[in-house]
Amino acid sequence: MLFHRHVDDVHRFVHRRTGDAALADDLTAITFERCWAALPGLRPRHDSLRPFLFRIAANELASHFRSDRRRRAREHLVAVRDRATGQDLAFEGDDPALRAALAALDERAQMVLSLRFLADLSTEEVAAALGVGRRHLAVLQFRALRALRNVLEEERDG
Amino acid sequence: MAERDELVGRLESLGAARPPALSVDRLAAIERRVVAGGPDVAPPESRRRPLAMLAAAAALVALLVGVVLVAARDADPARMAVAEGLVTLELPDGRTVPAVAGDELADGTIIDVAPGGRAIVADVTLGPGRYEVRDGRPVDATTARPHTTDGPSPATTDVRPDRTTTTERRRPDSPTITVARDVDRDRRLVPSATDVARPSTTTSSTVPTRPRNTTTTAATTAPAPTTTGPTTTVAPDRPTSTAPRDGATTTTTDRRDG
Repeated sequence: MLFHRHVDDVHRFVHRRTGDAALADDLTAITFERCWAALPGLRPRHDSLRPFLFRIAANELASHFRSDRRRRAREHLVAVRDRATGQDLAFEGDDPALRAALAALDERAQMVLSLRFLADLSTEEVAAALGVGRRHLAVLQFRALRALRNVLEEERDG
Repeated sequence: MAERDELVGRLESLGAARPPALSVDRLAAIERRVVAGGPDVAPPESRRRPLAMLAAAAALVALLVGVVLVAARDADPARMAVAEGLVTLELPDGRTVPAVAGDELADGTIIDVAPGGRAIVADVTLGPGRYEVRDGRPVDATTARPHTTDGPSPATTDVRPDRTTTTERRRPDSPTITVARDVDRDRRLVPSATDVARPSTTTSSTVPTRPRNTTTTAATTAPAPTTTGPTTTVAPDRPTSTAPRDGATTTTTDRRDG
C-alpha cells in the first residue's frame, strides 16, 4: 500500500526539517491527504509517485514556514546560541541553526535544498519532483546554496 | 568554495540524521487521519477557502449597506400629498406658509392642521394637530422634542401671502424656499443643489404642465385665517389652481427677506 510504503520516509524528511515530532505527524498526515485528493487526476508513470509525494511534503513545509519566516528563524537561532552545548537537540545529528536558515529561504530554494539533501531522493527524482532537468537543477541548487550561506552569515553577523 | 563545501557537508549530515522512527501508535493515528479525511487538521487550501468566502460575503454586505445608506440619504424628502382645510407649515427658518399639495417638507418643518383639516404626508394621514417632520416622516409635535432653529422666532415670522417668489438665496444653515408661481405640485420647500448654485437675482421659470389630478388644497378651499403663533396669520390668498395659464415663460424678481 502506498501509505505504508512511503510514510516512514516522508515522516523522516519532515522531521528533519521541523525538528518537531508532533508537527511532523501533522504535516505527514496532511501530505498523504493531499496526495489522496490529487490521485484521481494523476497519470501515474513508473516511479513518479514518490517524487510527487515528496513535492507535496516540501510544499507543506514551505507553507508552514511561510508565515513570519524571518521572526521564526531568528527565534530558532537565538535558541541555538543559548544551547551552546548542543543539548536539547530534536534528534541525533540535528542542526537547528541550519534548519532555521533553511526556513528563512524563499520557497523555491527551500524545496530545492530540502529535496536534494534531506529527502533520500536521487538526483533524477529531485529533478522530477521540481519539474526541471538535471542541469537546471544544478543551477537552482547553486543559487539556493548561495542564499543559504548569506542567511547564515547575516545571522552570524547580526 | 570551502564554505560551500562545508555547507553541503552540513546539509548532508542533516540529511543523514535518523530521527526517531514512528511508533506504532503514532503511525496508526496518522493513518486514521488520512483514511478519515483529516478532520483535525484540514489542508491549508480548505482552511483558506471559507475565509475567502466569508470575506467576500462581508464585502458584499458592506456594499449593500452602503448603497442603502446612500439611497436613504438621497431619498426625496417628505411630500405633502393632500392638504384639506387649513394646513400651515412652519418652515425650519421660522416662516409660516400655507400648505399646498406637492410641497416637499424638510426635516424640522412643523405641520399645523387646523380643526376640520386633514393632510397626508409620506403616506401618513394627519388629523388636526401639530406635527414635525423628522427623517422624512411626520411625528406628533406635542410629544416631540422642542424644535430649535437659528432662524427667526415665530413672533417675527415673515408671512408671505402672495408667494410669487421663485428662488431665494439661502443662508448656509437654512433651506432654500423655492416656490413656483401658481403651481402647487411643484412647489419646493427644501433645498437642492441646483437651488444653491442658481443665481437668484432674476429667475426664469417655466410653468410646468398642470397635473391632471387637481388636488384640493388650502388655497382652493380658502378657509378662515388661523393664528399659528403670537403674531402669525396666514392669509392664503395666492392665485387659485383654476387660474388660466398659458405655459409661457415668466420672469419674476427675487424677493428677499428684509
